[in-house]
Amino acid sequence: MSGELATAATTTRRLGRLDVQVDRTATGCVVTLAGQIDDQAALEAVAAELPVERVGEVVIDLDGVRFINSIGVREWIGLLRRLDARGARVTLRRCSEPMVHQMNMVMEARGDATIESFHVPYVCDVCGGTASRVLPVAAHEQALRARKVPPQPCSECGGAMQFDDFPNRYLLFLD
Amino acid sequence: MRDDRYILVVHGDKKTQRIVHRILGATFCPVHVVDTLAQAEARIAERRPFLLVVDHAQAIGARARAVLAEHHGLPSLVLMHDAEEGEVPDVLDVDSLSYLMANPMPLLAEEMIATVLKLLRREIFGLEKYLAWGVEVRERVLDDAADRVAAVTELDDAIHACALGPRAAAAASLIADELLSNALYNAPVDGAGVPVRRDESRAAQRPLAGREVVTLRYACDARYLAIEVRDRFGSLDRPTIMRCLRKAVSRERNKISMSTAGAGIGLSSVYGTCNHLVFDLDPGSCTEVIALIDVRFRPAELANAVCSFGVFTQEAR
Repeated sequence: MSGELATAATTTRRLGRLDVQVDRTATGCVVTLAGQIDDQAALEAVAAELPVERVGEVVIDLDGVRFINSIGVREWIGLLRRLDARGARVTLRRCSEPMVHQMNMVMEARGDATIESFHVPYVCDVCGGTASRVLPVAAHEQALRARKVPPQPCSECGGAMQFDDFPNRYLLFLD
Repeated sequence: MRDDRYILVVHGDKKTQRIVHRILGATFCPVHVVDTLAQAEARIAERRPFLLVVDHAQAIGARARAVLAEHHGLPSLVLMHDAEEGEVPDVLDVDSLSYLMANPMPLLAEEMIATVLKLLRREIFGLEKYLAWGVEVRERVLDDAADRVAAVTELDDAIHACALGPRAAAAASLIADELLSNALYNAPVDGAGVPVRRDESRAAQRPLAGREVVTLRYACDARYLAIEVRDRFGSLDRPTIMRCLRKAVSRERNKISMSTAGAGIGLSSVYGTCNHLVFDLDPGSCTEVIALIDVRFRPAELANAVCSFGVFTQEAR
């Protein structure tokens, strides 16, 4: 694994088709993943290098994950398990739709992590436009528990965008 | 194509009976419709149908299981268009279940007519059977295992280019990647049927020749985006397929294999990502898997989240 030190507090590296950036924060670190999680993304090795001995909070930003296959899911689960074994408290931020899809199919892909926010597919009833919007869980906790997704204004026509999936399937990972 | 075969439909709802009769009748194959399994048993005793079409609620009952056990090997098509996702596991346990139709009209008509015509004509291969006439079918023959990534990227680019949207592209990419992995690493077996490539690295180069060549085809007719992957071993069997489908619909833990080269959930992921999954099996010769993604309807416009499937086996020639 070839790592490049960007700053004292930030490291970046590329694992196959996945970019990994680690930013140290006052309470732990933020890991930003972007690209594809597949057979070339050795995520367990990333876990071994994270500075979680001293501080236990790890936020993983998944906004840029565009693809994750079954072997990638296994790598991802390995990362979560390794972090859990080291006592880290893991928060998942801006989970992309491919990540949500896999977390709904494989329970361990969510693990014991806290979901801070996730992408939601929307479609506009007026103009037919589609969008993937980030929904913060805390702000919509009650609605999400009732399997309701709040409508959003369409950025193209101002119409009301509606949730574009089955609530009982897409929101399963929040249970 | 004319012979003495007939289709037996068992459904308690008169409206559904009429819809299904109309769809199946369009094949010009005789269709007999009954309300209950007791009536069906009498018909089957007189003459065995070549296909049994049955409502899911009746299919999972003890009586249906007894009938299907007694007439082992009778292909059954279960209708689930008015069911919920949570009801699927029970249906997958039905002995001899080969076809599950989960969508309401008009999708039901499209899925069912293609399924029954394949059976009637004994021609099971090819994604063209699910698409409108004249569509352009793109094909890529992989001559190295490492070409999988490039093939998936090419598919992803093509879907973005024809404006089907990022969600269809993401679904198609995952499906193609998993099906190609299955064909490249799980399908190859030796003379004794033992897998010979299962433990290989998924990233390594391996020239493909002879039976190891794998073909990816895809096409879209503005109703369905169809992705087809074919291997030349024909080692995938029905018990393995049903095991994967059960894994897909279950919420159990430990689905993932952490110790083998593959993760063991590839086909399950495909089933959870498409609207209709088709397995065309020619044992010892060829396996073709076709995944259909509906590109017309939003998920919310479909009645439920259940995915249809079919397992076809090439009859002996």
